[in-house]
Formats: sequence, structure tokens, C-alpha cells
Amino acid sequence: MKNPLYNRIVFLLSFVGLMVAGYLWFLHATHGDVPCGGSGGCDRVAQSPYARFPAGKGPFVAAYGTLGYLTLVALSFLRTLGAGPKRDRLLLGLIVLAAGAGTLFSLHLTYLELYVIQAICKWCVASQALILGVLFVSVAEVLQEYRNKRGEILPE
Amino acid sequence: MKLTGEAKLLVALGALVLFGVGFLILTSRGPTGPGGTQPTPTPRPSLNVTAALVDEMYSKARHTKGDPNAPLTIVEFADFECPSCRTAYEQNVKDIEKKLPVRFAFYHLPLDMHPRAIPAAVATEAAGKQGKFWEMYNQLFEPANVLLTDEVLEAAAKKIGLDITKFNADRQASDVADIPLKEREHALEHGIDTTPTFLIKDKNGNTTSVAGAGAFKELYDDLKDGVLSPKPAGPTAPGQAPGPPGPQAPAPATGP
Repeated sequence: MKNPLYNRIVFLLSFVGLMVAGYLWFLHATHGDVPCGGSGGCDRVAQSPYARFPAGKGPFVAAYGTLGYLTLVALSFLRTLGAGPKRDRLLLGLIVLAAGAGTLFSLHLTYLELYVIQAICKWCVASQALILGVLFVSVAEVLQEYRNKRGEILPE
Repeated sequence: MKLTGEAKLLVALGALVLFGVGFLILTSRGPTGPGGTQPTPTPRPSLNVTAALVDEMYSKARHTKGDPNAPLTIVEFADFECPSCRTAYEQNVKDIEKKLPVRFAFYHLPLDMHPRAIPAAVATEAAGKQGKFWEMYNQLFEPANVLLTDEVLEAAAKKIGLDITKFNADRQASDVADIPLKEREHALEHGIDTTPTFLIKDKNGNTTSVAGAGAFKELYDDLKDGVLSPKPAGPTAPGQAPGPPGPQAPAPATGP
């Protein structure tokens, strides 16, 4: 890991995401109302069949989010434990994959919010912004590493 | 395994985030945790539940079910879009007249924060015009009908065998459309501004009120003998006001 700043940002965003998703999972499990600043959109989203995946019958979407962010936190933390460059690249690749999958899932949920449920939940928007941030930063690191590698192979 | 300096830095950052985000989440939940009260926008009269009030509410209710001579009286104030009301329905209210020795009454208390609450309430009243209020009530509280769109309301009406032309005409009629608003005003006049709220009177004339699905569930098992136990969350002596209200502060004065 040549520039640890990227990984620190990924870790931080993932950690915040873990707390948001974990909190929502907790609220679902305890039948708590989701505070939404008076808009009521969170209630509509949380009570819709799409709060579970598969819709209406699977585990809560927040549970997938919690596990996804936990994976990202773990992967970014593992990168700091002095792994060699090969293992570091593998971990970074896994982060990009996990963040990409999370972003696709988030986009699907955004579509459902906008066009099916017709309500916006600020917690979901926060989580969508966080996973998008993780993807953006991790891809930026991959590109940086690629540029560095090219620079090493083809010095000007 | 010895942690690297970078790992220690991440642990420290994680702890910071834990406290920071934890603080934000806790403060956004309001004073009483999940399902807890949010401050009401305007002061309301305090709720003073007497046996006479519960009896009056029951006798004036448009919709009742159960044995009219049952020892237990429960009056529910709810909103079809309120998550806690839906949870209460799933947990305890569904078929309550078959599970408890109760006479049960319902009042609409549609909250402004729930845009589909009034159309849903009006739909139940239109169903009531065809003698199927409780069938529609049950339909709208079913998990599959959570979105309460016009299509969902119409599909529910079809499912319980309503005359759809009459159902749609009744939904437009002002005498039907005004009922939920009038019932909400009636509730607010008595200081009931939280959904779901349950006013309860037992066979000994003891009364209480509880707000929220969780609080009602806690009380529910004690009601099987038609008697309020002395230990519930709210006071049980006749005429006493209940404890703090439950999960949702309505916003009748502050629409979405």
C-alpha cells in the first residue's frame, strides 16, 4: 500500500456505513420506528415489502448492508497488517468487488424507492452515498497503483 | 499478532467514528429510544383516562366489534400508514375479539406525516357504507398492502367483494371523506395525539392508556382475564393519566 490515505478513507466510510446499517437492522429487529425528520419516508420504506430481500420474505436489507460494510471494514483493516504487495492487491481487489456489488444493490434500492415505493428514506440515501464513496475511493486507488506501476515499468 | 502503526491509527479512527456517529444516532432517536416519543409540535391537553371517558368513546365510536357486554373495553386510535399501528395489528389487534373478552372500538387518527393515511381511512369508511368496515380494516393492515396506493385500496375493496362503483363514489362523498378528519379532531380534543393509542377499561373499572405496539404487547397478556394487572407501564387506578405517550408524535399542524 503506497498511499495509506485511500485505505483510511475506505475504512472510515465503511465504518460509518456499518453503524448506519447496523442501527437500521436493530430498529427492524425491535419494531422501532425509523426517525426520519418528520418526512415519514423512512416509515414507508421500512414497512414496504422491499425492506426485505427477496421482497417480502427474505432477511432485512439492512442485514445485508451490515454484513457488506463489516466485510469492507475487515478487508480495509487487514490491509494495514503488513501484508505483502501481492496480498495487498488481492485485498484491494476484493474491496472494489464488494463495493461494486454494494453499489449495484444500492442503485436497485434507489430505483425501488423512487419508482415503486415513491418515498425517500434519508438513512438509505446516506448508505448509498457511503457505498458510492467507498467504490470511488477504492477505484481511485486501483488507478493510482496502475499508474505507479506503469511509471515503474516505463520510466520516462 | 502485533498491530502496525497504521492498524492502530484505524482502530483510533474507528473509535472516534463509533462515538461520533453513535452520538448522532442516539440524539436523532428522541428521548425514549426506538419507538419512543418525539416532541409534539404544539402542546396538547394531558390525557386523563377515566372509566367514563372509555365508555363514552366506546359508545360514540362508529365502528365496534366483540361482545358489547364483554368485561374489557379497548378503544384504538390508529392510522393505517403508521408502522407501529401495523405492528400492533400483527402482534395483538388482529382478531382481538376472538382472543380477549373484549368490546373493541376504533377511531381514525391519521397523522399528517403519512400522506396515504387519510385516503386509506376514507376507503375503510366507504367500505363501511357497504357493511364491510372491519373487512377493509383487516385488508389495509395486511403486510402486502403497506403502500396504500389507490390501486391497493381498490384491489382490497375488490378482494372483500365491495361494489367498486359505489365504493369509488362513496370515497368522493364529503360525508364519508370528512369522517377521519372529524375523528382526529375528536381524539386531539381529548389529548390523544399518538398512534397507536389504546384506551383500556377492565371489568373492575380500572383504566389505563398505552401508546405504541410494544407497550400494548406488554400489557396484552395481562388482559386475558379481563383485568388490568397492577404492574403495567401506565397507572391502573380509575381516572389516572397514563405514562408518557408512545412511538409517534403526530403532526396534525405540520403537514408534509
